[in-house]
Amino acid sequence: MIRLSALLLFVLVACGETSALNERQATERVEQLIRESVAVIRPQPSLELYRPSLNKNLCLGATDGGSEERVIITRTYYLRGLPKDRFVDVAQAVKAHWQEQGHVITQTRGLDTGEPEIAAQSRPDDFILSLSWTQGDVLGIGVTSTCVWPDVK
Amino acid sequence: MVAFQHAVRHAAEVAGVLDEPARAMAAQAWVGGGAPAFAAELARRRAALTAALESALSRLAGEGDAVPSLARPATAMTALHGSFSGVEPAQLRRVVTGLTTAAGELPRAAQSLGAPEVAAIGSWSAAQADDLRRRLALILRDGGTPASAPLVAFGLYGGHAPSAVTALLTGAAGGDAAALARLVDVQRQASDPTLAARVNAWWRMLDASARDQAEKALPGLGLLDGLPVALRDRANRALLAGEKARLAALLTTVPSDRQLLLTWPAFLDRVMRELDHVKIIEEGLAQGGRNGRPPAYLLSFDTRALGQAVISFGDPDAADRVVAYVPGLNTVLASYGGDLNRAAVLWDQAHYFAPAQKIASIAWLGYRAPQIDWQLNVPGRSVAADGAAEKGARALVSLTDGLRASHGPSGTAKLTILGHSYGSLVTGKAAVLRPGRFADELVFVGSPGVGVRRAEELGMGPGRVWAGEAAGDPVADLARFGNDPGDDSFGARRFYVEDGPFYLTFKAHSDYWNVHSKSLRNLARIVNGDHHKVTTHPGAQP
Repeated sequence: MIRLSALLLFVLVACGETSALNERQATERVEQLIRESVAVIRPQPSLELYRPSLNKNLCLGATDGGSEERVIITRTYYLRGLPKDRFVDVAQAVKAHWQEQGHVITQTRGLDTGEPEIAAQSRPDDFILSLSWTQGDVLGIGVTSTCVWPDVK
Repeated sequence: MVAFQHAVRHAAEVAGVLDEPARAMAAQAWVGGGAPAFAAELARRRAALTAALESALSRLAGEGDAVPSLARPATAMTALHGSFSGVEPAQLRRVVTGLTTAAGELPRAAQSLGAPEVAAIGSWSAAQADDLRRRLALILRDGGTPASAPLVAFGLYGGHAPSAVTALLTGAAGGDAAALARLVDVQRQASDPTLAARVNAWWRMLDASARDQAEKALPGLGLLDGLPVALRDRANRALLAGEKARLAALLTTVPSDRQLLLTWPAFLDRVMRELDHVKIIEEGLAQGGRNGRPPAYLLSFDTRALGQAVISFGDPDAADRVVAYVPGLNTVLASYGGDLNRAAVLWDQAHYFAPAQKIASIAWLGYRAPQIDWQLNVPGRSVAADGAAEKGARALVSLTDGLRASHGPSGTAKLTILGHSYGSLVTGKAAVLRPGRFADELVFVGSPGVGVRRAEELGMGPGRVWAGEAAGDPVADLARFGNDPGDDSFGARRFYVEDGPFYLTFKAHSDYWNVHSKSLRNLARIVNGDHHKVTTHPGAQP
């Protein structure tokens, strides 16, 4: 019973991120984070939108006091035109840029194999950023928002 | 002497007449079903032929004539095959061609050597060749090459794999709804590992008009595991639309019976709930086919009570990678939208990493999940015992049996089962029901235990069991149903997921599918088979 009470207490006091952004603002922020990240890449790749990232996804498991009717905005792009021997340099440049912006790097791997995977959390808004190797030797970049209210249609 | 030598030469020539079909059978006996039985029968006939020929030569031999041994080497060993492998038509034709040759040559040999037993083997060969030729034509009429293993096992060699369900299948083909319902019920018990393959072969061997007739006469046909998924989707969507219309009509009905009128409000509540379930399924299906996502397929559903639905994003029959997500505690159809979204985002992530691969991501609410029990961790008082998992495991096994049966032949396709929370217990129990044949990979996230003490007890083979759990996930550390899969001693491959909040909440228990999170990326890498890309626990920290 003590264990149960403790569990309930923890659940009740739980609070977390609440985004003040709406869907439009979150989309703009996602695109901004991608645009600024791609700007530091040499040579400049061409961006190919990964269309499934246009789908709005549900805000799952929200215990931040907010509603699960909110959505998560994502955009993902393949970075076309980058030679594989540039992948590590690209990853390091993007990582350095994210660090300069004050974002928190949460994962760095694959630099030794030439197939990098870098992840970060943006500051101050906790968006998830990732740069990933994909099959076919193409790098991709993706950014995901926190939970935001969908635009009213 | 010269006549005897001539007889020896003739006998030696025909002694090998069944070698070719025997070799072809040895190479395809792995498909199971009637194939091993037929291969064994063929081997017996081959040995009998040798013995009959040697016996005939003994009768013909004069003094001083030595009767040679006509025994020939055993057939080649069979190779191992993947779980979705098929058989090339040329190999199937080798059996028919060889038996046809035997059917032509053995009667002549029987006559010239005075060996009636040889003639009997010739007659047997002729009968088998005719039966197999007819069945082979049916199997290959749709142009599928290679032919799927279940179809070969229970279509081509179906005559050698008798079953008690044959009568039910025949009844269903004739439009007998009770036979169909009984078949679905038998399937959910998962006691016959061959049933889904038999169902698939049964359907594939029906002619077009019989298929049309069965589809029209049996609204619940799509619930049968093992049928082609495209057919199931079509039948189930029609069934769903019919249910929606029926339920909507009830809302505007006023019963004339006074007694019935008293209970009508409560009845209408149930109707409304079922209509809500229909809406959830429709919304889930609408998540497919949008912005580059593949179409959604409705594999089964039940709008009654807490509701059930199995939906796939992408066609599992044609997929290189299939993953089925098994949700856990408290999952009900009314709030299933989030679970469907999890399957959708896993498809998004896996396809992003491997755009050339065909991927199918299934959300499987095919069982009645236990509803919340705050006393979960109180031994002896919990309603979250493993009874629901036992029943769910059987239904899940029926799904995977069906996915294997209906999948197009492929030497490389892989099936991953992803169990979350109590769904991991369902998954673990299902694996034990089909040791070595359940799935290619098992993944447990936020697991309170999977019903065994160690990964090796799941019958998956080394390195095929994965576990991820967020620090701060209160359920993952319960070890309520066996040892904690996230513990080193369990023996699973632990992959990295983000820590949950420092305070204990159920948020961490639900965070495994966050888009672009390390957890979701790891899940996608596992599904795709890029195991070297999976960040293992504790992983590369910043």
